Amino acid sequence: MAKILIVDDEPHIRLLLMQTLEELEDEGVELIMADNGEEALETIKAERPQLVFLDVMMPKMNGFDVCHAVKNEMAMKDVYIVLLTAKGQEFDKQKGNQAGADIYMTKPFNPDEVVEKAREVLGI
Amino acid sequence: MKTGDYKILLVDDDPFVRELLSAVLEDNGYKVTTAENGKEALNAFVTDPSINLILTDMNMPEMSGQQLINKLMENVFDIPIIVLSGNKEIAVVMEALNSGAEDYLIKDEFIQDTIDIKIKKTLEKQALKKRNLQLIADLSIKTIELENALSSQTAIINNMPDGLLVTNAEGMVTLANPAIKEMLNLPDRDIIRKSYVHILSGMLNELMEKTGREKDGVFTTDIALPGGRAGRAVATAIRKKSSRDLEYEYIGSLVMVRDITAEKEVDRMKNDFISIVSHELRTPLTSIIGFTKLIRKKLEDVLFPCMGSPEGKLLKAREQVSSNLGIIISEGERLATLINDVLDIAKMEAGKIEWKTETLSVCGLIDRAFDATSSLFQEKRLSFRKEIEDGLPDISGDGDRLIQVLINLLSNAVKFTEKGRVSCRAFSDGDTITLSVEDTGIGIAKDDIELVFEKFKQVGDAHTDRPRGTGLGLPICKQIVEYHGGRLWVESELGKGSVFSFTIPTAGTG
Repeated sequence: MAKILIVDDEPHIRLLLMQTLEELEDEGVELIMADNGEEALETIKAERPQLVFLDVMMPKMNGFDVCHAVKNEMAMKDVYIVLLTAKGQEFDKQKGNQAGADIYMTKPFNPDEVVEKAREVLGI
Repeated sequence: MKTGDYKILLVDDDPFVRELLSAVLEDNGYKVTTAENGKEALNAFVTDPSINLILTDMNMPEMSGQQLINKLMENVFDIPIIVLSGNKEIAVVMEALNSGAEDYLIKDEFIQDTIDIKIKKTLEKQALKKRNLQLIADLSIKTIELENALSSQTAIINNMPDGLLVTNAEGMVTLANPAIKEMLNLPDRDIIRKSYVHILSGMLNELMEKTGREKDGVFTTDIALPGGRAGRAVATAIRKKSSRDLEYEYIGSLVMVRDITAEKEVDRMKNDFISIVSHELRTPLTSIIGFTKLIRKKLEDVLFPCMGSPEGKLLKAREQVSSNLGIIISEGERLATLINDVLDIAKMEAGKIEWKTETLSVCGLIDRAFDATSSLFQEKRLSFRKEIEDGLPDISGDGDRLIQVLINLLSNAVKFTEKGRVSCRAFSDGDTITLSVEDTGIGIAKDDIELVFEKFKQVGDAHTDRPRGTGLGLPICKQIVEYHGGRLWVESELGKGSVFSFTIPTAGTG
């Protein structure tokens, strides 16, 4: 079963992403949430989602670290990670690449793009 | 030695001797004044300061030559005295010489010939003595000046907050002030006369080595200081050029270290602030725009269809709701752009942007800028024309930022043009390339041309309700172009259109 994990410490953003991807739920995709980096890692290990929307700026463990852990330490290369950042032009693309992110999206993001990317990664 | 400058006091009780010797002396060019005895001589000397030498007989009435010598010596008159006497008694001669006479000459047949050279030598000796005294006095003054300077400098060096280490030409430490000992955790034991290689480490070592090798220039580096502090070091060769030499002489090196921990902290805080501000402002905006878009979608996909074909008030309500949501979304997106622009220009003005340097093709930049704005062209049904000179050389700069400039100029051109065309030209002119974006739009009034590059000033279109820009687009473009060493300007005529042009140096120049 296709799974998408949404990670952001802001509840509104989690809700926004969930509602944006709602139409996929009708098509059999399960949407899971996490509100911090450590929970995200646990959930990824347990649930093995195909796609993760991962916020960068979170307390305690940020998105770069989660990404790095998943891609390098846990070697889960088949998990597609979208880094979400509220930094526009200041976003450190190099750091994102080094952490192993597949793509980054800046906030405010376009809901259509989010759905499009999800469909592309999940192949639906 | 010009004899004419000198005056001699001739003392002798024999008038014949006085006359004869005066003549001899005057023949030799000396000025002469005479006295009959010691007492008269003393008076003459005291009243005439221009007398340089006294030539005196020994046996005279009233006051003898010896008594005259004693009197002159007693009062420390610094006047050379030569005795000219017939008295050959060795005791008399010795007493005269020991009591202060410069010379004792015997009145013999040779005296007329020898007197000149004797006087000359005595006067020369006197002149040397005077010069010697002067030199000693000068030396005293200079020594005091030097001691004062040294004291001041030592006080400065010992109390300055920056660390200072000085070596001689062989690399031995000659000075290490308290600040550098503290900064680098140097041992308390004497480090003077040790080679700097054993005292400094890592980058400081390299820096000093460079100064010794190059013997010219200033070298600087940032270093980590013990205790987690940050330092900035500046090293240079010490060169001396005395007035005699044509070349500089390398006499050693020095390194100064400044603790910049606080400076770096402020920098870090500024960067953090910009990060935090951008995050804090964009997060609620993401919710506002995102949820509004979802509402609009739900309304149009699910709720409005339930209304069937509404009329009257219902229709009006539906249209208003749709339109209002559209306004919230576009204003939200404008706010997002504004946040980007404000942060951009703040960073540019603070010099905090990290600029890339790449070799770029002008054609490639224009194509990418057009791709990003093509939808705007389509919406307004305007045509785009590209006129790029053949064989245009590449330029060097930050590709993303230059595309940002072109996108801005193209979108402005489209925004202010109702019908017609937007052209983009590029041609080279020696070592610069000029790019220009021309439109057939509403143009800019002469008085407003200066204003377009100012922050938050928007010109034209005050009466329409079209969403306006941020007012920062052109100022940002100006910063980007000027960073690359170019110039941005506009030529425009109200009602006819505008041409915005900028220059960029070609790769390999500037």
